[in-house]
Amino acid sequence: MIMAASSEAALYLSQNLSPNLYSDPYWLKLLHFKKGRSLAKGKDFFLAPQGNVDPQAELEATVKAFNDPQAKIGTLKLHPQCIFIERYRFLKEKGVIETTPIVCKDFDFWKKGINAKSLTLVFSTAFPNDPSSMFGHTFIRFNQNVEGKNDLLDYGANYSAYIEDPNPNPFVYAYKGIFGGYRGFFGFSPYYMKVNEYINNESRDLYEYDLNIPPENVERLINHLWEVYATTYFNYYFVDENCSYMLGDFIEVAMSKWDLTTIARPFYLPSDLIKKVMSIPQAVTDLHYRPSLKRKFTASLSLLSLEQKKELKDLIEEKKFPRDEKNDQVLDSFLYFKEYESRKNKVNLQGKNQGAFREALMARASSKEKSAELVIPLKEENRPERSHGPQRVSLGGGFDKNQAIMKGTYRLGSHNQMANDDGLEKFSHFEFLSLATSYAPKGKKFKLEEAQLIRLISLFPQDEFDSRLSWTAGGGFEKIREDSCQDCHRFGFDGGLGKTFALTENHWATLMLGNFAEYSTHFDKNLRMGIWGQLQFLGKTHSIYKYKVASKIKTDVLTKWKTHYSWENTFCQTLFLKNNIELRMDSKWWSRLGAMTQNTYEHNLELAYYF
Amino acid sequence: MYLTLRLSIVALLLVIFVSVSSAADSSSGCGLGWQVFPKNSLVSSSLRSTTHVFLPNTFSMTSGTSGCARHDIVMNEYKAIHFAEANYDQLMMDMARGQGEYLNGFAAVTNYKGDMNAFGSFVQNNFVNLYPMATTTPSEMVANFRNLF
Repeated sequence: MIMAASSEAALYLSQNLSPNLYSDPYWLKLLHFKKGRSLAKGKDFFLAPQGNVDPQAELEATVKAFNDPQAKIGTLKLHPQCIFIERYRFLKEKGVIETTPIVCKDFDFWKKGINAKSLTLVFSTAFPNDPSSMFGHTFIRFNQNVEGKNDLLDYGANYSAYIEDPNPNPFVYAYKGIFGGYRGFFGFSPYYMKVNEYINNESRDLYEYDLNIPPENVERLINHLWEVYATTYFNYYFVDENCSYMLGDFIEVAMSKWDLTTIARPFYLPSDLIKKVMSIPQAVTDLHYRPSLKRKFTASLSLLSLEQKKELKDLIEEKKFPRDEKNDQVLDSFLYFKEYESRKNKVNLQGKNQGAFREALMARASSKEKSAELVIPLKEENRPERSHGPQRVSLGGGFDKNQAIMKGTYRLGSHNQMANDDGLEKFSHFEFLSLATSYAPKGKKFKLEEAQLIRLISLFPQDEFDSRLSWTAGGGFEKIREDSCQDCHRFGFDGGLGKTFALTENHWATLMLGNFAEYSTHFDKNLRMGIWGQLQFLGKTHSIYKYKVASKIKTDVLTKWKTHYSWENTFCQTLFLKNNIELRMDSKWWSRLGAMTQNTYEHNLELAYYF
Repeated sequence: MYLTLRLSIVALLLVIFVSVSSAADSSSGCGLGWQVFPKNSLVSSSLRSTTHVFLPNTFSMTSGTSGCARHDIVMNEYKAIHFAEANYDQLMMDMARGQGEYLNGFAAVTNYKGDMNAFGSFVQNNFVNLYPMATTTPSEMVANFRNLF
């Protein structure tokens, strides 16, 4: 906090401060002022004692500080002019400040190192098989002002939470993440480190959107990032003030007319930032696709003949030495495989671990032929902005053995394996907080049938080089159908593991086994626990239609298996219509083996909308 | 009913825990030399100590509100080593294959401005001289490169 300087400064202030400059939207943006207070939490960011809630006081204190040659800010003890670079530029532009700019060595060194000409917004996709990355991530890259520049050498900036404990307790982690218990910071690193982290370490694709931001506006953002970087942090809220929201908030400093942060629902997803940017006319000048290491390996595989694929397998299974391999493309594939494998298993390929990798490198180099560049085109349907919104609402009807019913559902998020997966991982499934209600005209009964808390399904098609398991977990409140009771509900959780096989690229078969636990007052001892097994066929055609055929057997192990043994068959279809609307037909049959008279079924048709 | 409610909250928290891990970017809370590499990172641990060398003497790690190293800019003379170390495997692969984005990056950080085709052939032909052993470190490779080129 800077104490008031001379009365001269005060006079200067009152003469030159245009009325209400403190309510200038740009001033408020620099303070990250929202709903009556600044989002910034570090006290060094504010020069006035109540600066975080009083933009006027903050403006006056800032001007006084700039005019005070003795002023020093924060732990770095720099003059305010060398910390609040963008505030200084703004106030000078408005004619409020007339001091001569002083030399700011730290800032100059830092800014010169970044050497930014333009900005690229980068989106990283979900990591296959890892639901915690299912929303993706966003960060920015400052493109250097250099002829023929290499993207790898640019600097990237990223907003993330600082987690002190390397192995946090899951509940503490969740609690702090939701309620702002962690501090959020912007960090900078050379872009090659970000590429390493996402493309190589985690096998995620990067979509790089070049933004149409003039250099002088990019400069404002850099100036402001320094202000924040040198003095403050924010509270990281996983749900709304997260990596993408804050990034949007900061990009708005560069482009005040862009609205990247207004959102109707209570949570903000990384894909929202991309969608907002894409919806602004001429905001994006180009999109560059950077495929993951896994995709590069797969692409290199596709260049091999059957014979060559066999040679590759021999190399992998150590039936052949790399030094005996003469084909460059086989060696290239082998190198990609070793890279991918080392990342997947988190084993360093350095020193004594190099083994076959080094031998292959030397064999490859000795051929003296250069590799052709791998061409992996961007598929339009995979563009992140094509994904549907996370919320879903539907209206429909159906009938079961006893009556016709009308149904309405609502889901908070996020995507379903039977929905259009443009812009998302194929057949991915992550749903939370889904409610299903029904209305039976016959008895005029309106009911809450289901409240699904969470359902995760991760399908990973096996291939000869990567055999990860598929799995599912989830549960909630749902209607019991396989029993004779017509209006019973239970609270249940289940999980399972299995294997998925891609019969063709878009038609998958999955076999899974799992267990479950259910609680219901309808049950004999209120509790059922047991095992289940399911065979499922899931497929799609041309982003227009999806189908699922599944058969599941489930048995309770707490009683004699013959007592609570059910068999559920499903046939589900979705037709994707325009504007995020889909038509879904869902038929299910339940029977209890050994008691076939208790068969039942339910057929439903609904129209759903995503937003 | 209350049990159900409590169980639901626990379940939801668990779910969100799973999702929340995407919040923590393992590359950096802040800065190159600080909190950059998680324990199981594949980037060699020596990189962490190397980056501290980059920070000029006049600057120091801040404490207090930001808790970050202030300067993430890689100083010129260490650019090549830092690049070679951070991209160890990829650069080796590009060198063995005579082309690639990492090789282009390496050319830039060593201030090579000539024909990339020739550069590619050079590193490919001299691969064993650049990396004489499996244990050749990135800084040794850069030194070998300077000697050869």
